[in-house]
Amino acid sequence: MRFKAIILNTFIESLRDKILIVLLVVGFILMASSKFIKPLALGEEIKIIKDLSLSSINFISVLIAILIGGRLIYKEIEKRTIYLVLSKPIKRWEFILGKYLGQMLLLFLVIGILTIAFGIVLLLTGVPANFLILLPNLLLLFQLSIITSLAIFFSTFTTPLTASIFTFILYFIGHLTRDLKALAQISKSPIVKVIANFLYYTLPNLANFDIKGKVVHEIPISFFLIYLPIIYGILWTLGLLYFSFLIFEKKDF
Amino acid sequence: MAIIFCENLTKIYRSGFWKLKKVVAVNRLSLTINEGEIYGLLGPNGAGKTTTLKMVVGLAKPTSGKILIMGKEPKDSEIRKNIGFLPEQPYFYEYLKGYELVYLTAQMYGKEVSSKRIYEVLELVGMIEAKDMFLKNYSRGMLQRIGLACCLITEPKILILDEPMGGLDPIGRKEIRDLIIQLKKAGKTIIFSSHILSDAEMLCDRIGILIKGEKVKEGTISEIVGEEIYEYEIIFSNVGEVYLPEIKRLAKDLIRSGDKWMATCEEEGKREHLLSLIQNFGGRLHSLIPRRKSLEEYFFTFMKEKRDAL
Repeated sequence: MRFKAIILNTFIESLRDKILIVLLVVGFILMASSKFIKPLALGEEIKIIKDLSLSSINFISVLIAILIGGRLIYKEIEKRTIYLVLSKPIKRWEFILGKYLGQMLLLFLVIGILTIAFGIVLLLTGVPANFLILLPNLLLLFQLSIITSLAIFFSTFTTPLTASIFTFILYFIGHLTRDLKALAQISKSPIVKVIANFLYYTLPNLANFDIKGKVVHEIPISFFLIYLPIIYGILWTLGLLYFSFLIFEKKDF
Repeated sequence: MAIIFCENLTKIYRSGFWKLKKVVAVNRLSLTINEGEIYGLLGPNGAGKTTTLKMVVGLAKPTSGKILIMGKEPKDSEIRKNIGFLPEQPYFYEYLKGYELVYLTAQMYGKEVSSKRIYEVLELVGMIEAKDMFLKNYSRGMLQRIGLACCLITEPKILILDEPMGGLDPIGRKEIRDLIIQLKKAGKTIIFSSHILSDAEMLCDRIGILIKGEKVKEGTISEIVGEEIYEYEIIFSNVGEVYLPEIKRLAKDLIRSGDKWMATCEEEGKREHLLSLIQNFGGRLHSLIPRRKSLEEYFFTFMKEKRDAL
């Protein structure tokens, strides 16, 4: 497991990145703001506090995945630190995998910290909650796995800014794929139908991972809504990492 | 025994939007580096030195040709266990401290090393005091040294150093030179590129000169530069002013430095004559140094001839 050095290094790099601190602080502020919203909630305060906090966790961790993830590979190439790594007995696929796992370890930590903060908010506001409240965060982790793999994939051949923009666009479209399907069904134009169907079937459907609404409104969640997105997330991650390996393997430094 | 063997190594980079423009960085280069020797890869900027070293460590793939390191190809990542590589102008993870970087490098080799070993290596390269400093605060020379510590931490058999003396002051260069000699004594094979010819002259068992990706010369320093003495340098003192014109008549140059004089001459006969004059005039002889053509002098003449030929 030589690539554990890559995991450790990626984790330390992100941990010492100022962006992380800034985004975590923004996350805390967003969650703390629910305390001030409570008087304006007109009886819906429990739902608003839960929804706002879960959305904050989602928003912050997605931003971290896109902003830090987009720089993961390119930065190593640009700053020539890649020479230090690939001149060692490390295979190129180990490097990509190490980068991915390091970033996921960080995101796991971020979700953990923000979830603890969420717990504190619930305690302070006296909002009741059970363990089901953690389910959106579990699926968020698998959604972040796809986003991180997308960012790594783009990062193997574009600049950090472009990789982040591409990843953000795909994240955005990924949450609208159901609308794309609906568009394909109602549209009378065959071109629109083909394009909408093509996008629906080729882009990751990230809306599958969003069960915040159901949890907040205490709608029963079927078992399939949990484990199918998990399998879906794993398959997309493996596919994207595989294509990242293929691109990276051919590169000269 | 050859520890690194390259045969007809060629690297062509493609540039431009459609990748149609070809740049030949290395052209049919053959090299044999023997175990335990120091081999210097010399040449002007753009000669293909760095590209050659990158291909040897597996950072770039040859367009054609063969590389064998201890009988295996560089794409076999396991072979890189035996290589310590210091890139040109080393860039490291700025958010790490010196100690952390060396520890992490050992991990990349798949080796657990003790703190004692890390301290030993940091001591060896003179970086023990800066071990807890973030790399972003290191000077160029410090980065060079910590890079060497990373090369040495797992005691690899082969060290590949790309411009190891680049950016160092004279004292730093001397320290790195001494370290390289020490490593050779410890049985390491060292291949390094340099544009500082005096360093190469002092260190290398053999050198190869690259120009525009092609090896134009290879051999020991004396094979390349020649053993021929072209000048003698005599340093003396205590000779009265009245006798100096006679010395000046025989010498090619006569220069005063403090209370000493330095006379130079080209012929052996004149040298003997000068020495006897100094003795007869009651002078004191401090040194007699035969001067051979330096690698630097050879290199400049060679490059000029090459340019004139074009």
